Amino acid sequence: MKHTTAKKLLDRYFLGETTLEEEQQLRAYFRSGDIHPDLALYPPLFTYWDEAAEIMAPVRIRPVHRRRPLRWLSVAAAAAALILGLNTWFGPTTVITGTGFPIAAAQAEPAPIDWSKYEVTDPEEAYKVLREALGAASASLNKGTSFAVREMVEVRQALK
Amino acid sequence: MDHYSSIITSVRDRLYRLALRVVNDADEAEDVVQDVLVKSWKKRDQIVSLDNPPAWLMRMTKHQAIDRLRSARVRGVRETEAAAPDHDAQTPYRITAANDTLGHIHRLLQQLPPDQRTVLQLREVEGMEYKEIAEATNLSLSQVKTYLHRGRGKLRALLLEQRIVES
Repeated sequence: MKHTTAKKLLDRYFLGETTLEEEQQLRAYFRSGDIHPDLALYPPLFTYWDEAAEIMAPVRIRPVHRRRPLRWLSVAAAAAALILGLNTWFGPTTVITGTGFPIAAAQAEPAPIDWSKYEVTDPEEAYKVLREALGAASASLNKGTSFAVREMVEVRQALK
Repeated sequence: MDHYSSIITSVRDRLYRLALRVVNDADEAEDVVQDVLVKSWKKRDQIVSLDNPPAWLMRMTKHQAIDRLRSARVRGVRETEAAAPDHDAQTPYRITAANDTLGHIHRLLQQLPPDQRTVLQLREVEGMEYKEIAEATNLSLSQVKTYLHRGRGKLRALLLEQRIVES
C-alpha cells in the first residue's frame, strides 16, 4: 500500500468510516515495517489489538454438559443421604406405608428438589461426599442388624 | 460433536475475550463465561434453533460481565484495578501492560464506558461488521458507529497526549 493511501485510510479509520477490508489493509501496512515517518508512531495501537486477539479462554471453561457425570454422582450421594436419614428416623425394621404413617409418607414423597443448587462440580469433592454418605449408611445398617440380633436373643431368653 | 457443543467451541474464546475486556480480571472473566455456559446449557434447545446463536451468547456475556462489574464496583474493589490489570503472568494482557505504550492504550480502554469498549473489542479484535455488533450488544446501528468513532478518537487523542503520535 502506498503511504498516501495509508494516511487517507488512517484518517477515515479514526472517523469510523472504514470497512473491515480497509482496516485489514491498514493493519497489514503497519505490520509490514515499511511505514511513512508521519505514521511511524501508530503501530502500537494495531499491535495492541493484535495481541488482544491472541488471548484464549482457559481450558477450564467448557460446555456444561460434560459435567453431567458429576451431577449424577452428587444426586447419588444425596439419595444415599436421604436413605440414611429415613433409616435413622424410622429404625431398621419399620415399614413405611402411606396410610399408617402419614408423616413418614409425606417425607417419603417429598416436594420436588432443585438438585442443581447442590451440584458438586469438583470430581474429588463429589467422590468424597458419596463415599462418606455410603459409609454412614452402611454403619447405620450394621447397627440395625446388631439391634435385631440383640432383640432376638432377648426374645429367646424370655421364651426359655 | 453435537450442534450445541460446536457452537460453544467456536465462540468460547470470543466470549472470554469480551468478558475480560469488560471486567478486566481473568478470574472474573472466567466466572462470567462459565455462568453464561451454564445458562446457555439450560436453554440449549432454543439456542441451537436461533438464527445467530453466537450473537445471543455474546449479548448474554456482555450483560453478565456488566452485572459483575457493577457488583465489583459496589464492593469498591474494581475501579482502582483499571490501572493495574490482574491477570496471569503469562497472558498477553500482562505482556501488554508491561509495555509502556501498550499499557497506556490498555488503561485508556478500561476507562471507557463498558458499552463503548465492548464495541471497540468486537470491531478491532473480533473483526465484526456493524450489524453483527449491534445484534450482539443490543445497541442500535448508529450507537455502534458513534461508540466506535468516539472510542477511536479517544485513543488517537491519548496517543497525541502521550506524544506517541505527532499531529
